[in-house]
Amino acid sequence: MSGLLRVEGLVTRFYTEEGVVKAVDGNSFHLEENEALGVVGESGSGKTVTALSIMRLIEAPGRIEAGRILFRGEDLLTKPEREMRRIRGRDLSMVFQDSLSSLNPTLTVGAQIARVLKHHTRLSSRARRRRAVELLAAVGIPEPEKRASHYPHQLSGGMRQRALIAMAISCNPKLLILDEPTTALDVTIEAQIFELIGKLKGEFGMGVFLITHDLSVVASFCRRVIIMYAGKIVEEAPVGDLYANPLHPYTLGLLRSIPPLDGEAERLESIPGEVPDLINLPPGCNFSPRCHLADERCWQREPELLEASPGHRVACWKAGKGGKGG
Amino acid sequence: MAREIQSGEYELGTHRTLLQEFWRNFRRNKLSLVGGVIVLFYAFLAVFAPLLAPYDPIEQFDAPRGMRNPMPPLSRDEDGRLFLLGTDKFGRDILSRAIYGTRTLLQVAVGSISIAMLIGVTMGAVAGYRAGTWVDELLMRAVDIMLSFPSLVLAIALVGAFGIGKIQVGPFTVSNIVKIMLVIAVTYSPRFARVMRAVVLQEMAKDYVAAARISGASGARILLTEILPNTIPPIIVQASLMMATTVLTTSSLSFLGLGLQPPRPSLGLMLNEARDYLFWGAWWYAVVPGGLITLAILGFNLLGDGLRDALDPRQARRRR
Repeated sequence: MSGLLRVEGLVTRFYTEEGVVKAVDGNSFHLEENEALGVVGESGSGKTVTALSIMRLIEAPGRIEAGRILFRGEDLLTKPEREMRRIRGRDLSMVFQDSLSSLNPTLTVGAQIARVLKHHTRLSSRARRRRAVELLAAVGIPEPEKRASHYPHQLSGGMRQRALIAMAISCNPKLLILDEPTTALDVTIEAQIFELIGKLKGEFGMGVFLITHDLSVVASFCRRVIIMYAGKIVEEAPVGDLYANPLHPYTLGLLRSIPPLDGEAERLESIPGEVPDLINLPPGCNFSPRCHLADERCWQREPELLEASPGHRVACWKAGKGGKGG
Repeated sequence: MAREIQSGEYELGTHRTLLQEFWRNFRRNKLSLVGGVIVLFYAFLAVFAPLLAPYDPIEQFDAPRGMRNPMPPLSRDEDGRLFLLGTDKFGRDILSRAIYGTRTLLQVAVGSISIAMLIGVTMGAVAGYRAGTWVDELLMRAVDIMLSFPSLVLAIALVGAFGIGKIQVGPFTVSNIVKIMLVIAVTYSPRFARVMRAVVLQEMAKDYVAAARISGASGARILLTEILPNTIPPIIVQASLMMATTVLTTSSLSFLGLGLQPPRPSLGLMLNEARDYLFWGAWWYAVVPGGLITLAILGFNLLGDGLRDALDPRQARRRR
């Protein structure tokens, strides 16, 4: 099975004056239709750069150096820009974190959705307008006719995020990338948004690539999850597997930094140290400077991402030796 | 945090259009309203000059026996014609000349600002969109060179290069007034280019531009349909503030004899003529055109400040 999206050996680098930033360093993963894949990592771990690489929107001084991005069997990296413009917004779509700045302040919400439809469909301007209202209704915005003629600043944060999703799904994309879509929203709205995305995913059978730093969101929404650290995938597993049996010390650290629901007021653990400088990465495993298990081998040689059990891959010399209880 | 509170206000408030929002902010500042009224007054003078001026601005009247031109305000000639603001050295009605002079002044100012905007905005938009490339470098260094001259000196140099009066460009005759507009436009277009480039750069960093790219829009389309509307407010503010400067430059050129040529009524020329009569006591000769120029500059500046505050409330709050 070729899958909806198959990324192979993706390398994206930024050539800055301070040096070469290895933002994404040789990652491979895949995503099936109607599947939600979660990508978790700290800021600067390469999540967003991965997403922008898939959209092929890496701008100078950044460059996609190597790899293949097979979308429905076709390599996006070899396509001319003209063709990419047709694919973006129609087959591939993306929603950003900050809904206020993602919408053009000088255009009404309805006009902005209609504009996307204008790029990709042959609908008349009245039909586009009608479709925009339908889409706003579909994402659960009350009084969609009225809201369509409102400007972004007249909508609440939750409504704006819904409008952005409406814009993103306007052409029934095959793959929807969500870049921390609910970070700026409160938890009740967050739950509503994910319920909405789940519903749309089922309706259109689209793949969802969810970027977040919130493991609890992933747990409730995704089937599989990728953990990224300093530009590399360090662990990939089905969600249940990851929670039950985290293999990478970094994953373990992430899980331990979440307060438990059964509320015993223990002191939360944090991962000591900070994300390494992507220009001067350590010679061995990127996580070794912060890892309490690290030894000679970890400092000198980089571990490969290997399958530990079916569907569960991990890049660590000490995989699984951290012990669950600590 | 400020943004959160603001959006809260909007949610609770009724739904205003951007224009209503603007007017609400603009109205709050009384001084900018004064500026607006002054500008409207000038527009009124300029548009209805033929109806408002009591006499032909170049018709010469003889002073009655016992008096000499220039005559003081409220004088009459032998036929009983009243000269409300007096006459000039040739016996022409100062009020009529001032009204027509205002008209010409605004024509030149509006014309040159429009051309300057067209040139500057285009240059700035291209430079901003291609920031960091040789195109940007070329355009901006050209702008730097032009801005390194004091604007009046540059304008004088350009007039010097083209000569006074109308000029011949191939088969086309460019009238003197259009030539002056072009000279001033070229002098001031770099300022628009600078502002435009900065605004385009600022807007390009915003997510909605990325969102437009993600929806499949091409670069040119993004620049024209997404970014351009967002650059209008700062450009309007710049234009309004530049109007004041242009009024001064136009009058200065005329005062120096490099701008509008007699007998066309011009406030700058009137000031120049009035110099010789100041010691003679003909205060009205200088006060009328001088006052009109000053008031125009004040009006455009107040309006410009008000527009800036109303169009960018965040910046206004920061300044206070």
